[in-house]
Amino acid sequence: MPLTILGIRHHGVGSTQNVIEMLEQTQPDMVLVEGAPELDSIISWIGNEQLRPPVAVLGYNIDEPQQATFYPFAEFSPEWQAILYANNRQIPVKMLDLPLAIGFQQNKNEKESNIVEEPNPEDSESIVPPPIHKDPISYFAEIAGYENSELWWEHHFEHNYISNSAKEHFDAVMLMMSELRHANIPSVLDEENIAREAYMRDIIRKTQNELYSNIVVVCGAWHAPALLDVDSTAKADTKLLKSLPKTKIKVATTWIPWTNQRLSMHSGYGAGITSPGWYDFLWKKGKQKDFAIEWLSHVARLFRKKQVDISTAHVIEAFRLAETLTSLRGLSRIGLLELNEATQTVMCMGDTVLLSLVKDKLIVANRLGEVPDELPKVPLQLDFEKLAKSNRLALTAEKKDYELDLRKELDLNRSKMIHRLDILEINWGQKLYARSKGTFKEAWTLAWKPEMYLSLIDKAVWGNTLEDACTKYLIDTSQKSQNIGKIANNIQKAIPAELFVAIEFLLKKIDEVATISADILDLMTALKPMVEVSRYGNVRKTDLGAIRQIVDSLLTRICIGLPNTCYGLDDDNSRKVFEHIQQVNEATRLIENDELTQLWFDTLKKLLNKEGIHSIIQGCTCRLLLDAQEMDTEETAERFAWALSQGQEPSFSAGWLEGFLKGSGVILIYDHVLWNILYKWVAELSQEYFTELLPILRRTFSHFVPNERQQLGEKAKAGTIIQSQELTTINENFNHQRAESVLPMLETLLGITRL
Amino acid sequence: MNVLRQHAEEQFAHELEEITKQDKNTRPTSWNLSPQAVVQYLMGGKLPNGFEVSPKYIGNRRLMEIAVATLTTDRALLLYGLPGTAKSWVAEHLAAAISGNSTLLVQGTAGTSEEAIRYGWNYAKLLAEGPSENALVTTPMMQAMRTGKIARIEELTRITADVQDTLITILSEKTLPIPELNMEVQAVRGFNVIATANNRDKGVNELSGALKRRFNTVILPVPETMKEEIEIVQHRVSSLQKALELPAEAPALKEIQRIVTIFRELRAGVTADGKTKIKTPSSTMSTAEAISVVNSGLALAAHFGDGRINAEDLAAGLVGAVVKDPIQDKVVWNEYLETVVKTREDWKDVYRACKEIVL
Repeated sequence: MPLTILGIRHHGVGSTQNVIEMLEQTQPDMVLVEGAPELDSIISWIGNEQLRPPVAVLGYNIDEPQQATFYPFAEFSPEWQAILYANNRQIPVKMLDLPLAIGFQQNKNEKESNIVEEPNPEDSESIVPPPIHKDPISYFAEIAGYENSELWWEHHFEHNYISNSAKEHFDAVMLMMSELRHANIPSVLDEENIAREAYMRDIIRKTQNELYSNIVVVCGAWHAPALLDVDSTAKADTKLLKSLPKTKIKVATTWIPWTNQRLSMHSGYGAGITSPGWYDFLWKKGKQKDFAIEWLSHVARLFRKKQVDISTAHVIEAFRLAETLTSLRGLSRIGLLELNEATQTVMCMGDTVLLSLVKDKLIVANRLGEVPDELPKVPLQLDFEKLAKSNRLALTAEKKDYELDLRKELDLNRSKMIHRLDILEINWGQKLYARSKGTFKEAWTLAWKPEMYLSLIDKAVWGNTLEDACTKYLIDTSQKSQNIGKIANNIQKAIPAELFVAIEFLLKKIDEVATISADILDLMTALKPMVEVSRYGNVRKTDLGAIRQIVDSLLTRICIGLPNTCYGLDDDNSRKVFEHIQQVNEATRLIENDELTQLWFDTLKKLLNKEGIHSIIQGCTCRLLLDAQEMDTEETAERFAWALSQGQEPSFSAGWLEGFLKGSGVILIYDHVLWNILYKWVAELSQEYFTELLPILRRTFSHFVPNERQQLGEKAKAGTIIQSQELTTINENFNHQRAESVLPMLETLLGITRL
Repeated sequence: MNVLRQHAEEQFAHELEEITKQDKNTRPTSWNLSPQAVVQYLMGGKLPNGFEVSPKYIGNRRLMEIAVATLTTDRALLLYGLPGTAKSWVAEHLAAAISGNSTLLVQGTAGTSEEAIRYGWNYAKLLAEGPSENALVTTPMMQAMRTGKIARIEELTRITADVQDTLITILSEKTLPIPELNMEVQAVRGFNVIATANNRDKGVNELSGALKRRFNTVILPVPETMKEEIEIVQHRVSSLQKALELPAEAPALKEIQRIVTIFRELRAGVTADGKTKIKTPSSTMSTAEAISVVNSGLALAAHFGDGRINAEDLAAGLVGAVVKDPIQDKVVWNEYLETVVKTREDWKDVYRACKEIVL
């Protein structure tokens, strides 16, 4: 029973060409390809015209979709071509590896045991450092004088495809790997590999028992020697496989579009590649004699598209340089490195900046694969794809900017869709600031990532359409929560997503929770998002009357409850409340309801005069009232003096100062009265108090911008300021009549008309 | 011979001879060495017979390969980069290794005229004999074309644009027409041009698109790692020391390390551990300057000190290298001294020495 084992490098072009040649030669009746057995059924899709690589098989735990693995394939992947070969000729194909379910179970067990072990982290284990693993192939590369193993392997096994020498190629790979394994050179994945290889051998044995007589195995080069001997290892393998964890995990698989960028990701197949675009080119054009010229003219075209002047002469010169470099280095074939160096030297004036363009567009080449529509998919995914199509939003890996005009039907639908995805925590769109003003404009940058499919599948339990899923998801997360801030946040999200059912529910819910909630702070956090919704939501044709009512009732409740909430708080809590007060204050400015605003200021005044309120809060309210011009400067100065007067506890004064000055010290620079009070207060502090207060004062002042601090420092050098400016303006001989005669002219000039 | 500085092909004649003997690869027409051997001469290493070749360029081998490969094609080579990144040094050694002659040199200045590049006239002869080949004054460029050697142009971008353009015919047609005599000088195989230019200097003339197209550009970077830079400084200082006959002891590695650290930190704008941000001065802080700081330190130590280099000897040169602009750079330097140098335990002597030099 011949068993042919082909050791490959995942995604290696040369490997692929040799695999094809070898398959043609051996004419197998069974092909085994490395990959979890769960993939057996899904790989029959390879060969379908609508399945266009790069694509990946997504294998996930049905009960916990976040536990998942990807098996990416490019057109030039050896695995892909081997399966394609078999599918086209109706030869049976099976996958060969440890089942995903077992891997998932192992992960789970590990996580659970980790939780148990946690209390004792400094076990004896941590003392022994893990051995540093080196890529086994690098031993060969070093002897050959190469910088890294990738380059060495590429030059010897991927780049130099010579037709009709496939057998020699695989013999060489096998020999090399056997030598490395005989020398007991460790690999990073050693422990995992033991179980995997045992399972692989087990599958081969089973296949042989099914009387397939000519089996070809395509697997990673490292595993190849381990699969040669399947007979003498049978007993040990059975024993080992029995020790693997039992599992009931069900694994589902599906095809998803993949991107070239992600081919470099280390998942499923352990190895990634950094230049998929280049490999793709090699796969298609590598056999042609003048492939390097073609590559360089692609580069030239790309530059021209970006308005860089590149002539045909550049291409010729670049090619000659690449050729010379290749021969100078004693290589037989022009490689990507030589081409890049030639491009950089000839076309880019030695600069690397332009070369990064080549890297993005050609060497990696942002490409997204396609999967057939009739593939088994979860309903939510189907609905999503339908919506994307009807909204004309392309699922591209490249970033694309959209500026949406919400007065247009299509744009509104697009915006709705992006917002809805956002609710499901799929962040396809990144919101930008729209250039033009007006609430009917929205700007987004969309970039699709393949793992977003995973999130879609994860959220599939919530509903079969996007709208349905979002609504249920929002309702469910709010239902469990008694936190008004969270619910308000959900409303804020639901309005642009136009989830009316959810909004109605959420409004009821927030009203309900607000009525029974005793936590004023919670109400305060909810106010700001709600105010924003009421102000900006109206473009969306939502009924805003209800929201306004809720805002009103929220603020009223806050005003009533706040003084009591502030009573008897300690330092830390006061600071927290202080921040909330500032937020509410901001929100009230947006409400534009005079009555409510007045109510809010009255509340602040109440706070100011109430006993037992922490000095930080009092200082803060004083400042807010001053800023809102609800309190004149004289009264402020009085209160300032009172707070810093001798009789007060110094800690009270310091707290008061902190609240009053939080954020900005500009007021001290310009208001000499306040400055003098402060200066005197500091000067009169006794030494022991001073050291005690220093940290608090430092904290207050260290928040100011450096410039402010410097100015304050200068001022402190000068000491108390005598109000010289104000004195000079007083003039006994002032002629009011004369002065007034200028006023009409000034008014005309300034455009002020007297009422 | 008692010259201050020998040409590369004289100073390293022995090495070149050995390499030529061992060189088995094919040589392009009129080249003294094969391209592989030229790269070996530049990068240094052991020859098959055990002869040790000293490294001329310490850095990325690939860059030297590109430079040498360029010279085998019919494009000229432009070495581009910050001042002090060994552009002229590499150019000189390339010419020495390839043609055995690094003296065919045109120094580019704002005053370089067409006559300095193409040809001039001996007016006495011109008047006496009338226009004839005899009355022609040849330039290094013309000689290189006639003999199939490498010509060098230093500071290409300092030459004014109209004079630069005379190079176009030479580089693309490989010929130098002399209309006055109704003749031309055609370049012999092996002729090529190495130009150097720096991209930091003030008052440079951008190359025209047509001329740019005739050059392959290799940018020589500042040394990548600390180790590499220390190696360069040490290597150059000890070879210069021989040339200048300085009696001082070989510079202590510790001092070189400190100088290189200071230069790298100020150049990068961040301390070596990557933790503290610092301002960068207007000076270029190149490796070449680091070398000259160490050298002047050596000279100070030899003539005025005890022959052993220490922080005081280095400080004067160091401050001079950093502070090029008396106002801005001084602030930068003082900040650096106070925030970085002062805090380093074993750098106290550097701090004190630098503080003593009042700017």
